[in-house]
Amino acid sequence: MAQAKTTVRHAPPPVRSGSRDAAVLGASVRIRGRISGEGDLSILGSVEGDVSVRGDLTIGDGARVASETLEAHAVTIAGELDGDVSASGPVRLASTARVHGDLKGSEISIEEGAQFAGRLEADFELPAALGKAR
Amino acid sequence: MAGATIIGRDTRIRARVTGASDVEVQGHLEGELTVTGEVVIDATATVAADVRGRRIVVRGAVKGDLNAEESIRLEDGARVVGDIRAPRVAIAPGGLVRGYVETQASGAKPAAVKSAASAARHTTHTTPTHAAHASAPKAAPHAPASKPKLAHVATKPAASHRGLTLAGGKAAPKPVVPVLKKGTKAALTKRR
Amino acid sequence: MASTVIGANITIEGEVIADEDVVVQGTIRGKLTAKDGVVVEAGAVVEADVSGGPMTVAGQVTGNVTSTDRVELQSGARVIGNVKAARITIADGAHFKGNVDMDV
Repeated sequence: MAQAKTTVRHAPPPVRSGSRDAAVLGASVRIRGRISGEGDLSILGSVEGDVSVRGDLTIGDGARVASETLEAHAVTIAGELDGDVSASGPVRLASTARVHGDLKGSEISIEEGAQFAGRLEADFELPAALGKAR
Repeated sequence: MAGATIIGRDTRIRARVTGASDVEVQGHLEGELTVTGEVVIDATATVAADVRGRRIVVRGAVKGDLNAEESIRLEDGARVVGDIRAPRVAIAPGGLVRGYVETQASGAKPAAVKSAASAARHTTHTTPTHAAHASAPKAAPHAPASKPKLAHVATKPAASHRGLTLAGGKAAPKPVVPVLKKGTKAALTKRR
Repeated sequence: MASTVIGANITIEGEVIADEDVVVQGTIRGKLTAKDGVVVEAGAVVEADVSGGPMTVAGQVTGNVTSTDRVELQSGARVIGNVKAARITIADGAHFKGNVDMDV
């Protein structure tokens, strides 16, 4: 007897402050306003507003985010971002990323093919042979 | 192409280096490096110079701007204080940068208004040369559109402390998304 | 053997200080100071004072040459400048104009 296959469709969980679960803003979601939370956040749609999460932030391929500040632990960007990133963890731009803004994080990597314009501010010293860095 | 040039580990050069060749730097270079070939800055290299080449690969330390016709790649261990500009830029985890990075051929139309705004903001951080290059030709065509954005950006410290309501507490809706679409996607789709 | 190679299409305007061998195939204008050997190949142009260990010149040098060892001017070499070295060889076909000081 063939087993009937049941497709269960869940609405993407709302962005809840205090939730440790990963929140996903689906591709058709458009938000204008500030987003904050404790857990991870994955943006697949469009967001216009500041984002501040304690967990990891992912901006998916096809997503579009415009903000003044983006705060998170680890940040992975495969979509479009117009805004500065302030991460306590690593910041990674995938090859499909299109980012305009300054990036700050424990480590910043940019895959070849990514479009980027902005400042990178890593904390390090140049060897003594190069004198004081500007 | 003629035999590659290698500046050895125990060599210090304080000079302007130019030519139609590849150059590998393992030692110390102070001055200027402009070649039409590939530049490799090895892990042991210390370079205090602006570097120009077709391709640049960095594994060592650089204090200066990097400009390439094709691509710039920073590998693990690279330390760069300066601006980085090339059509394609890759920074591996462990590659450290303090400066302005742009994946565009110099002189090309900017992908979005933000780059003009960023350039204006960066005038305080970077050398006058950068501001002159970036602000002058790039800001001009977008001047009308960028003005409200610049004002917004200028008040950034205050704005970030504002609590924004879901109803949209911002003074005027930033035409960011549409402009982004018009600028970025269109320009980039064209490039593709 | 580690050495610095200044390739044929490269021009260096300034100072080169090497704690290793230097092979010049291109152009140096300024100053060249090497701890070890210096080879100026045919086609190379050195408009600089050169000092180092053993030196072999087959190209063009305009400047004073000081060696802690020996200087060899090969056929085709063109040297204009004073040479100070313990030993010097000038091959047939080498062009040389300058003083030689072997009192090192």
